[in-house]
Amino acid sequence: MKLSKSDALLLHAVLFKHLTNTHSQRVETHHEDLLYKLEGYLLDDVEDEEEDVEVEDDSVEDVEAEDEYEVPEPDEFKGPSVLAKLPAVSVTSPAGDKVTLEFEDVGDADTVDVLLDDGSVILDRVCCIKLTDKSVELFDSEECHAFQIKKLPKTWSKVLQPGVLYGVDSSLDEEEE
Amino acid sequence: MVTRKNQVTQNRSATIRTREDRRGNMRTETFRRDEDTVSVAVSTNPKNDSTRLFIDTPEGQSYSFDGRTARTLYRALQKHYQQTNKTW
Repeated sequence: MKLSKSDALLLHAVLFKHLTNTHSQRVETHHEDLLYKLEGYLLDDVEDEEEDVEVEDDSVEDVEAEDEYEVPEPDEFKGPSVLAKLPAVSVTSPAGDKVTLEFEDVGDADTVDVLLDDGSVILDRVCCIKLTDKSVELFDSEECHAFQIKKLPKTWSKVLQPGVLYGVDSSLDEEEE
Repeated sequence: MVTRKNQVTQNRSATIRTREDRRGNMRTETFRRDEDTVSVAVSTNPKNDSTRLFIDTPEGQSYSFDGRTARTLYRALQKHYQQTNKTW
């Protein structure tokens, strides 16, 4: 297939417009979901208040129970933009190829793309990441892909604690608020 | 006497439009292009986020690419045009 310069520009323009539109629709859907969740939380709060009024002694017990509960360590992971800043790392792909792997922030709040060193995408929209001793496991919507790491850069282990499964979601804090 | 070369402007009424197709997919496509030029369409299924890119050449050949390839093509073009200041 031969494409002229103007064809290449046209192709770029169509892809650009499509990506922009799908992204804005995704953001819109995300906001709608968020509003729906908030609505649910508000309704739950109203129901809880009514219950609290009816049984006052129970609320005291609840406070004591909360004191005993150990608060888990906060997740310091901050989403795709943090991953995109991590340096490229040499890995062995599940197929056995030696490749250089890096992340790219695609503008979504909850996914990153995984690129090869030549810029081509090998995994798009990775939503969860887990480091183990000798590999990095990347989860997209379909399955888990494990890449063997030769030598893990220190900056990686500062951001991703080995053994912990991280969800790529920078909007998590906002949702919780 | 100077003879001017006949200049025919192609795709004068052509646009790129986005619409929802019959299957509920979001489709961005070239519209009202001249028959002797390339047509391009990209379609995304909002349910599973899968994307296809279609290119029809004036010679009657059709090419189809998956979303991953489409994204790679876009990135390569974007990077190239950024370097040559042809992006917007």
